[in-house]
Amino acid sequence: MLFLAFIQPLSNKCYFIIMSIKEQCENLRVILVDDSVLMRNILTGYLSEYGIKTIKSASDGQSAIHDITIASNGGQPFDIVFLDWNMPGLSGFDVLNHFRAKKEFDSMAIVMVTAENKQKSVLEAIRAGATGYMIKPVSKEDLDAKLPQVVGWLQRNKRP
Amino acid sequence: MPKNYIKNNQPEFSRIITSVVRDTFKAYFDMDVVADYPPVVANNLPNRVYCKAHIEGESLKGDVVVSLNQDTLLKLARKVYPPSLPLDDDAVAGCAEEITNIVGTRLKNFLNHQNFDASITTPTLCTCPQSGSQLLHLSFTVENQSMMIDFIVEDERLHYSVTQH
Repeated sequence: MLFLAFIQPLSNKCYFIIMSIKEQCENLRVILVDDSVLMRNILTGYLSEYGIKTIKSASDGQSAIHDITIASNGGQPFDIVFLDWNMPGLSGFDVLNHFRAKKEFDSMAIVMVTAENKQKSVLEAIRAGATGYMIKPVSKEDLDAKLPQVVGWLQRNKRP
Repeated sequence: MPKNYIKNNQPEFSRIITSVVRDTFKAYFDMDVVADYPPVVANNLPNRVYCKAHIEGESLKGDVVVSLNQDTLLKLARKVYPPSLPLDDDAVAGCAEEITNIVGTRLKNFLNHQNFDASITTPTLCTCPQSGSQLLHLSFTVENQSMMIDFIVEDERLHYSVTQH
């Protein structure tokens, strides 16, 4: 069982709150953006084991921008975007830049999931505001290592 | 020249492709896959699906081609897709395209490490082996069928292989 400990300051007192990752993940809203049906199914399988109830998919950048924007406008914003880089039409990098240019999406975690393993690509994505980066092939163990970091990032960047 | 570079560094290219194939099949399909030595060289095997991604740079044009038996691809897809989802041509294509994407991108990035400035296209299914010559040829046994990975460029033909148990 993976645990995330975080501290909430309250009236000069600090409380340690330890919750399981699964308990924190259940109510997360996640969208997978990848033109590969295989990848969308693989990630859905991995994420389902965390009890995440809302897992949506988009098969290209344009659809992703549309779906994420609509969800946000409808009061049900996505918390995490798992985003492929190389897609027909708009690339994942274009989608990343699109949302990082809009303050209302500052609390949305964007994790690149891509076969691009060049250090230059990783640095480019992080500098553009990616919350994390995973290199394909992505194993369940890779996600086990990454998800607590993303959940921690969400806690630190909570919507006001 | 990229062709000479690839020829002179075939073991390294082979190691990189073999490593990424092994990692991919382990992560996605929970399968241990090792390469064949010598590689299977078989043209016109029945029921094959071919998928290619085009790699192009200033002095290099070639295709990474992955070919697998269609029934094997269906078995791989079944390992990943939920049981309720019917397996159709898209499922088969998706499997082949993603394997090609990962292998091709790794190969492209290794070439770019040597400043060849190559780019890669989105993988697509193709109906037959590409014309041209193989700079790299590897085969792996997957579900008792051969999966072949080739890098085909102009004019030169070289075989290289790795092993299976």
